[in-house]
Amino acid sequence: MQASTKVTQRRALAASGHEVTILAFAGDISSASKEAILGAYQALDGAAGKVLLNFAGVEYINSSGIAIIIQVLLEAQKAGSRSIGIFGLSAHFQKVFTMVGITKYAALYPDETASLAVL
Amino acid sequence: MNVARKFRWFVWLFLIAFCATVYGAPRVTTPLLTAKGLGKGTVDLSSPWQFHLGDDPSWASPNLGDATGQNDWEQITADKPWGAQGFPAYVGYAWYRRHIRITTAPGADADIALFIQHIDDAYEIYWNGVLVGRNGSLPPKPYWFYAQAPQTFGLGPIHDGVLAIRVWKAPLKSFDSDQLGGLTSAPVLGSPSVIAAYKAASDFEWLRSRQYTFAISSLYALVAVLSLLSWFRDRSQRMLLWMAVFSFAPLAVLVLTGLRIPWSTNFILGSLQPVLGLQDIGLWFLLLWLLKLHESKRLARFTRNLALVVLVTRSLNGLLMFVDWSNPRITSLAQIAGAVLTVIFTVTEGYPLVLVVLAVRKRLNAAHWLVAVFAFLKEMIFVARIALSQGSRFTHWTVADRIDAPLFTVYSNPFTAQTIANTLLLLAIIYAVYRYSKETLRRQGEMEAEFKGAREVQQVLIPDALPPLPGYAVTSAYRPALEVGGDFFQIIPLDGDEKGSALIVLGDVSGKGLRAALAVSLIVGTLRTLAESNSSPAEILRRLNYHLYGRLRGGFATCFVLKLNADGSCAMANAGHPAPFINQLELVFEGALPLGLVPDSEYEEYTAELRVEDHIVLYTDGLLEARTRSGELFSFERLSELMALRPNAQQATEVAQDFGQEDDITVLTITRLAEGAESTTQLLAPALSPAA
Repeated sequence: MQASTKVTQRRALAASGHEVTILAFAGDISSASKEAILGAYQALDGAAGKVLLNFAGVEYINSSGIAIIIQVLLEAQKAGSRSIGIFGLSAHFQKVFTMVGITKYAALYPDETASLAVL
Repeated sequence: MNVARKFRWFVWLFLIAFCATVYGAPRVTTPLLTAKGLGKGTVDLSSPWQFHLGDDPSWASPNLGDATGQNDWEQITADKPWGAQGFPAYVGYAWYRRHIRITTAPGADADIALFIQHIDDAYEIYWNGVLVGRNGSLPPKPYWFYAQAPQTFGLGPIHDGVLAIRVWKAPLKSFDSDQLGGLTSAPVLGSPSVIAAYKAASDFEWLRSRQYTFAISSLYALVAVLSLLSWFRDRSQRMLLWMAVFSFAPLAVLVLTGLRIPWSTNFILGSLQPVLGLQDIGLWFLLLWLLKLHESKRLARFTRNLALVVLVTRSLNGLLMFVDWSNPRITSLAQIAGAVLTVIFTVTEGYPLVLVVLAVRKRLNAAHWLVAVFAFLKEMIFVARIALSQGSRFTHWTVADRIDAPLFTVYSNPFTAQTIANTLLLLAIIYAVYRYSKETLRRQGEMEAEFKGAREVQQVLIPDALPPLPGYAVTSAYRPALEVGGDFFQIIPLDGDEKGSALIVLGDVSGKGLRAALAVSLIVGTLRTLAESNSSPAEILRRLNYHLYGRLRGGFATCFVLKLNADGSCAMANAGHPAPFINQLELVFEGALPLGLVPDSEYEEYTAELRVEDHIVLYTDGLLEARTRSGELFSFERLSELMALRPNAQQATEVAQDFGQEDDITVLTITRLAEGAESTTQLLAPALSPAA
């Protein structure tokens, strides 16, 4: 049941006045999604200091998919100047993300409005 | 000689001269064909026919003076086009006329009918000035058929008369010779029933002569379908896609030109262009793959660009066929444009030769070479035929006709150079498929042997018998999603001061299959080494993470370590693994990164006391994330309901499998026994038995 992952990018304005880049994922996230997700992330403008990952369109993430997300977060941490937030996760995957320690690297928000209000 | 005698001589000479003058002069008469005994057989309306270039509707009249030399009427034969009888490259209107006297056989039909084999291009038939039928349509909206089928026309009741045929020849295409136009074989006259039988015999003979072409085109179509289906199964095998494209063309060409379907010439020539372009492109890429030239990015890019050029020029050339060919100005422009486009894509036809030359020094197997050489041969014969016919009305070259000429005939089926090349290529493809299947079977056997070896290695890593845990009943189940899996669990009894205690380790490497199984080998080996010197779950995880960092190729391993003592006390640490349940309660841990991601991860250690009858369930995410065909997850909610039932390992595994196994599933249950009760271990699902 592995399908390709679609990644789209747009910009939004946070309540703080900062510009936020939103990467929205759709479909399943698995090992096959590596190029799409890492490619989209690495292609981001270096000046993009605040990035939101939108999982509202994601139906399934397997362990290899989680490894890719963690890789993105570790890259952001290494870069130092970029903060990442996550929203749109189902309750199931919120729990999985918490379990694997992702919350140490990115805050989880219920939706876009909530995340833009905090950033 | 006396005067009287001289006078007689003079009279004789005068009479001879007079007769010579009268009878020796051209006679203004029209040949009359007498069809005797019509009714039982057919009469060939063979030569000569009265012929006139141009058009005048009054030429249909039976009373027209059409004798040779009268009103510019001439005579030509009906067995070859007017282009071959002194009117080369003439296009437009022309009329044929034939005076016929008919005598019938006793008991013959009351009517007569006409059979026309082929007239180039569109025509109308007049019998005694009356239009009795047509084929195609004459200008101003001309319409003519590429594959013109023989036609029959009823002429009505039997009587003598004049048969007139009004013909329109379309403008010549770039590949047309100048020897075209009009009748190519004599029309045939007979009673309607005899003509119907004559046509049926003609159609049967045509079908019979096409049997081999139909068969070979069908086999090519089969190759195309099988290649396409195989490519759908494995998209990386692009050679199959190009084989499908290349093999599809003969069928398309057959349907367009070889089935006598009444489609207009312009539609067929227009449609043929992209088909022939795709055939060229299919061959180029097929050769790239067969000759192992596809690895050269430069060559692949050049081929792609060339393919684009051919597709565009061919398609534009095809579109030219749909312009108004009855308009002389448009026709001239279209002919010039067609010539330019034809020159462009004709130049590219030599590309297969370049590819073969580039591959000459490559080491390829015989099957690849055979397919490549015969595909090349087939295409080159086709291309030579098309290319050499270009401008043939100026060059008068007949090479294309000679290529088309049958070399021999088998049961009325002509075998041309093209037919033979098609057959040889098909045989080469069948041989290549046979070799490929044989090679695939051999590789499959080797792969299976490799997997068997991997299974044997994993069998050592996953316990096939559980060591007894004093004071506990243990059950376990392991169901890999593939032949080998990425889940692992170990029960390691401790020695020395901690005798009676044991480390229970359960984990999952991201991904599945052989790659994950190899990572499991590394993890279990490292874990067993670490357990010899340390029994703290958090410390074991910390060290294990340190050893695994950078060795899992961007992946990770979740891991849960439980140190279980005989008295019910236990310590545990978790590296991103799904939390175990005690009875129906899910344990809560602070989130922690899985192993192998960052070098310096630290892990919390938790302690607990197990009471008699307490039931712990450890599991991997294959249970949690079992998934239905519609994509619905097993999820934490169903997991909680399942845990409330205190399942053993087999029961829990079966529930997930029934729901829809996606990943490796491992379940381990541990139940604290009452004091004095005998420890039991149960390996309920045989280790390494792959999921059905």
